[in-house]
Amino acid sequence: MAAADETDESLMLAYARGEALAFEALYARHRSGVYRYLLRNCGDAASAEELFQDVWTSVIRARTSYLPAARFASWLYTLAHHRIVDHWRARGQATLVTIDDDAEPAAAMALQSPRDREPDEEASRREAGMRLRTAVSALPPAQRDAFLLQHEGGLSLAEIAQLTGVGTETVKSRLRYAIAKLRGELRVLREGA
Amino acid sequence: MTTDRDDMMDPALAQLLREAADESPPAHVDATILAAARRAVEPGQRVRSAASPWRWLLPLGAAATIAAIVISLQPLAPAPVEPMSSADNASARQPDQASPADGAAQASASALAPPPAKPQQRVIANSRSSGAPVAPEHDLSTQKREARKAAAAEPPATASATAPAAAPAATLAGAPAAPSASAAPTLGRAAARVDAGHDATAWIQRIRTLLRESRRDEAAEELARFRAAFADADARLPDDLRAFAAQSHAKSAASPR
Repeated sequence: MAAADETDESLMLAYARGEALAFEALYARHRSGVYRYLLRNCGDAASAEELFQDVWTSVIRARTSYLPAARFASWLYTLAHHRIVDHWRARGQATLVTIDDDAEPAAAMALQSPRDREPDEEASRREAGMRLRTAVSALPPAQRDAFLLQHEGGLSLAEIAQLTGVGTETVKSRLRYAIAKLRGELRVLREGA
Repeated sequence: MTTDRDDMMDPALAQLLREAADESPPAHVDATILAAARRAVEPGQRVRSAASPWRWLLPLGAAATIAAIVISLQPLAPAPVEPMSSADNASARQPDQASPADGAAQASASALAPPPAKPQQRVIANSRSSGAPVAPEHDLSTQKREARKAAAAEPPATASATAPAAAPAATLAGAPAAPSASAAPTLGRAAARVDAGHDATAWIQRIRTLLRESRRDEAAEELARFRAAFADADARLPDDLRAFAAQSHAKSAASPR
């Protein structure tokens, strides 16, 4: 079977039939995106690794009950999203729903902190990328989650809305705010350069 | 979906984010997950292979081997010990003169046992058919010894009396039974020779008793039989009988037989 030509759904069904190579192909496609989604959301690598293993273990266990009613990526990031919510609840942190861009000015203020720092004249694109990553991590959780689901998972507005349990307009709003803040960060970086 | 993102995402911002996205899970995490994924599908393959009919081959072969061993060892198992019945004893002593009641048992025994070439084998067959073990005290050699003891205990008084006592021994030895009294002295001598060591003293005592009762003719006949039975009969005689033996010898030499 040429795994590169197969869809995620057919690979998952092949793995459910016992083809371990199908899982390896599926894992190679999504491992980095899922890991970054978890790492940006939880903030530390150790927790991200633990959550990452939990997500893929859930995929392995659910192989026999998997039905390709939705895109595999949507199903996979739903599992990851639920792990993140459980992780925050276990740490006593606020949920994605209560912390939003309009209701949490403090979270938006966090984006301004890189702006206060002296720009490095020799900052490379790598450093710009690191700052953008930091900026993503500093986004309010709901905006960050929506942004990462779109950027890392490639999910549509409707899929993000269904996954997070909010309306499509809310998702649009969150994404608009998130991208605006990141653009501002990018502008500062360019001005600094 | 892509349209949504393209509409909202700055291309330069997207490019920087892609370049910055260099994090990936550690190699040991990859190895752990892939190993778990392989393990998860391996048991299914084992289940399919175990479902093949060949999985019954090993236990079936073992069961057949055990059954064969049990069946082959069963005839060698010891039979329950039961005392030999009188009917069995009778048939053992006189296998050719079995009663009609023993006919069925002998028939079944002959069906199970090989042809009765020897009486001893027949006795064993009878015992096995009735489930009783063979009594070692009742084989033919033992019966022969008992007949000799009986002959020694009762020395032959007359020719006619000697014959019945000697007959069983002759029969057991394979010779025909004495049909008449004429054959009695021969049989009596044969029986007397067999028990020579035990009979001489009793025989001499018998001769002495006959002389004491003044039955000289009978004593002479008995002495003649004694001499026929023992080559050294005169040497065995005690002093009180030697004179009578000399007279009897002279008389027998003078008169024709």
